[in-house]
Amino acid sequence: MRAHAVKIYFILCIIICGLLAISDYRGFYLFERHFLGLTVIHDN
Amino acid sequence: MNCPTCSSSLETRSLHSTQNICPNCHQLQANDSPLQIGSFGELNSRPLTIIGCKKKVTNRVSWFDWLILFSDSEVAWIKESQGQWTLFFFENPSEETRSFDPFALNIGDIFSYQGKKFVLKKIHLGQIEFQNGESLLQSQEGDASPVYEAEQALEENSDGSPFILNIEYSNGKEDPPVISRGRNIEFAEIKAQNLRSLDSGSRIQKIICPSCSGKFIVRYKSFSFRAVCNSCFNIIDISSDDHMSLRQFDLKYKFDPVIAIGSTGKILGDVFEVIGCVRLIDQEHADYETTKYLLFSPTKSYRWLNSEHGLWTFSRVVSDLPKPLGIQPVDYRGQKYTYDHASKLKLVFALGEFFWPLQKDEVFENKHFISPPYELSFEQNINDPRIYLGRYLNPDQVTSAFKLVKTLEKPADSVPHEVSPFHHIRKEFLLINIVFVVVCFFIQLRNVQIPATPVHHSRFHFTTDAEDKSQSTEPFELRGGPSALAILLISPSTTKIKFETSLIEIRSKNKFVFPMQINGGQTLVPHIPSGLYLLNFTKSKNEDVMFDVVATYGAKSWSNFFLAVIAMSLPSIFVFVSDQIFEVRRRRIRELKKGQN
Repeated sequence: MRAHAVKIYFILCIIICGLLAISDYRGFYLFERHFLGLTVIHDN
Repeated sequence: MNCPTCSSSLETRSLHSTQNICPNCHQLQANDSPLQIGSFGELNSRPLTIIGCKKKVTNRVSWFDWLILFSDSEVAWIKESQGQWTLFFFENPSEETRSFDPFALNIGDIFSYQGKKFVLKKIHLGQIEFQNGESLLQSQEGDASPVYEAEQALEENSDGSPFILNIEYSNGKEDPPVISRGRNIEFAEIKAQNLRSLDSGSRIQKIICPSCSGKFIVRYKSFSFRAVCNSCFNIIDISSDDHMSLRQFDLKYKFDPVIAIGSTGKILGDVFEVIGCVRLIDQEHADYETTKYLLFSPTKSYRWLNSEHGLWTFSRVVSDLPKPLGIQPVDYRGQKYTYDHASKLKLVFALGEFFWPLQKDEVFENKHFISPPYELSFEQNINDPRIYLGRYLNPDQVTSAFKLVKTLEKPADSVPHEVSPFHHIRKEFLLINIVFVVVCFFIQLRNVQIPATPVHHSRFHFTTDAEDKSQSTEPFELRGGPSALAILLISPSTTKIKFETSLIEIRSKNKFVFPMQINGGQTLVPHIPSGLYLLNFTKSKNEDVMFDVVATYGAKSWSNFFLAVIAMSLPSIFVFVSDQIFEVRRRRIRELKKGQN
């Protein structure tokens, strides 16, 4: 149980690191997206 | 030579022996000990043989002295005291040993011997109950000699294995004493072979109760002082052959031990036999009852298995500890034990046999200190103060150790010395947290070092004309996306006019609409795909204003880094907080339980 919890946490941290790297690279900023008041209108 | 009585061969192996009693024709044997005369083994690669045995008793304890002969003719002895083993070497007589006078000393006094400090622990008159084989001094059964036992002072030993001095006046107090210096050993250390079979058939004795004439079983008569008749619940003195009946427990008392007397179980790697159990009530909360099972192994000595409403503690006596001062934390073998609670328990019922003169209504006052999963209990008993080192066991461990069919009560809540389930992962989580925050920091640092590409720069002038409300930039190309677009509206004036801004992809007509403010700092529009764009500004107030529009593509923000740090730290914070909550509950739980009972 203890080893599982540590493993899961370790994997979670790796995923978060990966997401950070990708989101930075793609300019996907959750915080700004939320607080900017951005509205996206798809014309098609 | 041959024994003059039974004519069997009787070899005297040690040159130092002054008498040799034939073990074949002597009736009394050390039935409860795994050793016997003729057992052999080795200690630190030195072969040894058991050549003599004396059983000694006082009014409180009994023990065996085993004389051993090493292959290099050195003679030593092993004291087997209720499963505790101490190896002693005789000190060579010197001026210091001859002039050594412990008679002025009292228990607890500190004295120097050969440059080392010792504390006098016990003084007793050991009477020889029987003897077999060789002996260094002439003695007879029934002889009694004063024995002084001292232990190396605590400040001089830190490894938990202090030297022990045994000072024995075998020839009366007028002659110099026989001084031996030793240390406690594990039975396995002597790698003994040719052992006595300790199966129950050879050592179990049936005793007739002097009160009710019912028969009951005693498993280790050599070491036990009291037994309780399982028919009339009288306490019987079994230390002598008279088997006197002492006080009687309440016949109406209903108690059925969950672990049967006589059953064996393997706990933490060692096999123990349940030889007795006592029922105790809390003096302050009469309804709060606990059970203590007395376990014994001839090679590991006694252990206690305490059961307290789903809380199980497996404990043994330790000696290398000072008494605590009040409720100050106690350091023991590198662990800090904090004060948990005090208890005052009265013995109300017992079954089985016991190594001390058990009494009805005997009171045990203890101070408990914990370092989960361990507990130190300091017994305040005046006659024989003891210190117990206990380890928490969960009910499943007890069930599997004794192969119990009945399901044991589970603790209702966190128990005093159960390790918090978060305790061990706390450190690992913190370590992982720190490592990954550092990793994230370097990822972020590397990202923000890549400069954003300027994609547009133009100047706008909005007049107060009502029709001049909305203006657009020239189209500009964004490449290599998606990425974030940073837009800055800068004006030399101090105006704070707001615009509804639209970023329009010309080909798809997709629109990103968001508010902006002149001199309001950089606006980061996240995740904009590649394409041909223009910016349209619609002012909110009819005001004359001039400003510059600067747009860069591939802009970076630290916000995701901080979100990542928060996301990574949340599990770590949860574990830390849960651990703290567990500790707070732990401190309160015993009192709460008592209140409920």
